[in-house]
Amino acid sequence: MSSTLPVDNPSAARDAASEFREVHAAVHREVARMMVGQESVIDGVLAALFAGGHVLLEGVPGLGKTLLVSSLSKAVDLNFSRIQFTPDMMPADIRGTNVLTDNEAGGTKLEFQPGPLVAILLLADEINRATPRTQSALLESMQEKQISVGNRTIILEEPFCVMATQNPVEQEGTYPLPEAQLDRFLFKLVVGYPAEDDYRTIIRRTTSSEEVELNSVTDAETVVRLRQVVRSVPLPEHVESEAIRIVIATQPGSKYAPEIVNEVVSLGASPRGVQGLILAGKVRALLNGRFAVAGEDLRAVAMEVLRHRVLVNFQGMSDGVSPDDVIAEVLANLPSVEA
Amino acid sequence: MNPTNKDLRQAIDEVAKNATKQLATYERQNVVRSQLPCSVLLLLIAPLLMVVLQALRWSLGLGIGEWFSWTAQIALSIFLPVSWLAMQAWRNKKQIHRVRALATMDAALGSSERVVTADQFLRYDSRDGFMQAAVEDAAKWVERGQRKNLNQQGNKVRLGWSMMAIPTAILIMTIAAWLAGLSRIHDASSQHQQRASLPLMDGAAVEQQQKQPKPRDDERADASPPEEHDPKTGRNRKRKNTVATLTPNAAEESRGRLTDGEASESQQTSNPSNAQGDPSSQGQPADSGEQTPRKPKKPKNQTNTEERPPRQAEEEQEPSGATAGQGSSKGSRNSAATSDWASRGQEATPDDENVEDEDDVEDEDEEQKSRGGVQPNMRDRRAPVNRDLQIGFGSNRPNPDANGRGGPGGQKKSRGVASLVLGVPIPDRINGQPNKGRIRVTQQRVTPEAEESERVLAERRAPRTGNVGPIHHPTLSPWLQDIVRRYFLARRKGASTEATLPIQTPTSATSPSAESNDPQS
Repeated sequence: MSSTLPVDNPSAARDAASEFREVHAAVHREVARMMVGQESVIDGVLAALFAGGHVLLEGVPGLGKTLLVSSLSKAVDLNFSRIQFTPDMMPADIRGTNVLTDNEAGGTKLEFQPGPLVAILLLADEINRATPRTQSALLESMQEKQISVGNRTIILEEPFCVMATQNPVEQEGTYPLPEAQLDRFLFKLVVGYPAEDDYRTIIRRTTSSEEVELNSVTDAETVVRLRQVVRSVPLPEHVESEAIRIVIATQPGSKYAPEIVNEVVSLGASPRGVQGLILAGKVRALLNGRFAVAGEDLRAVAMEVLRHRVLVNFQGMSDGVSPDDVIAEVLANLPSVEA
Repeated sequence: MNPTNKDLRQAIDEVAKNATKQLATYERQNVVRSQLPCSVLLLLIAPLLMVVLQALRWSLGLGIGEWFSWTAQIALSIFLPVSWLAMQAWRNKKQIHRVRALATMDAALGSSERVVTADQFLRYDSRDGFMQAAVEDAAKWVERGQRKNLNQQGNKVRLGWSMMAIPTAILIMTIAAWLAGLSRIHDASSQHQQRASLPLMDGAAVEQQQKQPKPRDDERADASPPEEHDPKTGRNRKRKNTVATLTPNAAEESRGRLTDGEASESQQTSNPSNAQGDPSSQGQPADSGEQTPRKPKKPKNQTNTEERPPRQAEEEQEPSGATAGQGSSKGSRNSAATSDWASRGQEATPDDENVEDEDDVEDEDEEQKSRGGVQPNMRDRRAPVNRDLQIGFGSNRPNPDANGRGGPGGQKKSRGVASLVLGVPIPDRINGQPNKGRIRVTQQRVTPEAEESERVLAERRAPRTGNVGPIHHPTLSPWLQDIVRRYFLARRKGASTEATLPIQTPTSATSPSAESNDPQS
């Protein structure tokens, strides 16, 4: 294996895995104090944070998407920045631009004023309200984790993470995200309505004088270290083959594609999908007390990783077939290792 | 490799061996279960083969014999399905991969693929901390896997209708055995009768009888009562008896036993010159009051055969009445209407003889007998004569087959002026076209009646309670909903402008024109 392993003996691996689980549990617990009834969404957001990916949160208004991200920034003590995307927003508004300022000599100079994109945890609220031109300003930062403004390149600080929200219902004055940007999100999490009991907790916490103060339970440096731990989790060969087959099966006309993929899918998952599957699977394996990824980890995270990478054609939309239906069919038809 | 890893490697080998063995057994059982209905059907092969072979022997005249014992038949019947199952199990035998076996054991243990992962990591030369931790983590699961029973549920056996093959096979074997038993009884009775008749014969007769070929066997079979045998067998033997009476000696003997009336009829048939002057006497019953015995047919043919040479010589001197229809200038004493059945135009061909040799002969006799007398002969069934008129071919030689009568042929026939025209024979294009038969139209007088049913009020109808099946409610995407909404809004807007009647709106209801039209105002 590579020489840059963070752990080189089993006891160190056990300690690293144990630390990962503890930090994850602490952050989860802290965020859950503010975010009620969205356990799976919190898990997904934390998994993306520790796996080094970005998250697209989709849900109707009022479900606490923005609150979740802001709570996470407080719990992890990350440099948090929020951008409320609007149709008149320009790329320079989020990246930053050179402005004319006075210098000590009494003259003027061009000085770069960084935009809200220069942060560690970025909340891109209602990202689909911005024009594609502005949305494209995020592409470089999401993939390369840097910003190029003029002849200046700004390296974004780790653990840089973009968490975007969008409303699937309201379509007036919105611009659907391009596929290139969708593919850069590790997870697409669908935020649903809370359960009946969770409503009572929400009412009690938000309509009374009770105020929840979140404490930071970890820091950015720990998150970066735990990201290395996640990447150190080994991947068995048969699990690697299974991940590849899952992604290929989402591509129409491929060897493993079931019938529904050939009929209603116009674009399948890309190699980024395999990367996302493996990274998310590693996080899940660590959380479940294992030191290697298993096939069940891939199947558990496949929906969140692949649903925004599978593009359903017009026939599928007219038939009411969602990407989740396609992925469920893919997983059902995929031969397991036992077969 | 430290000792712990070595021990763990051996333990994983044991787990793999255990899982492979169980999987192989499970797959064999699955193959056997899936092929069991087909193999049950194979039970029918051996009994059916027995019956077919017996039928072949019977049709070849070898008689029904018992070739195999009951034990051999049952053994053969069971051997085929068992060998089929064994062959299928051997054909579907697959190499069970080690990864698959260990993954199956992992699934049975609920160890989340820890064993198969550890097995893979143990094969690496160098392992990092996480790999070694994964290997050590799998140790307790490996220990359980050495004794774990997979308990995989195999396919259910669904024999269904194939189970009927077992009683069917038994039934077929029973029938085959019964037929063989009948044959033995028949052979035994025949041999008994043969032995009983031997003392009445002298030594030479016995010798001659033993030297006689098959026809003698048929005669011997004739001696036995036909009621004892299968109807078909008796019928066949009866037919052979009829053929046997066609031998010359038998014909002579039967001729000698005829009554006076029959004798005159046979003479009349055999001598065409007598029929010329007295056609009404043809086919009349005999004057004698005795019941007419069964009339042998073949002596008549034999007579015709014997008299053929002098009649041919006679016809070479003068053409028959049938040739007069060709337009020949020669006269003839014989009329075509009064020509004898045995004339040249209706001379029996080998095919006709075959026709007479068939069952029609007996049917004719029985039919005449049932009608109380001699009826017109059924020989009209024979193939019609050739209608070739031989016009325009320049040959003065009379055609013996051209008698002017019609019949099926490959060419159209013509008469009168058309027959005098030199022409090319026209092939009959519709020759052999199948006839769809008669169309019978049956009209039935039926008085229409109204079907009355009780009225059911719509309010009393109960809601549907049964399952109506899956009802698809496709949820349109938001942008599609927007398109649909715009489309119907545009339609509604267009309809409002094209409509002749104004839409009732609050403003239109209070418009001055409306108020002016109101008579009360």
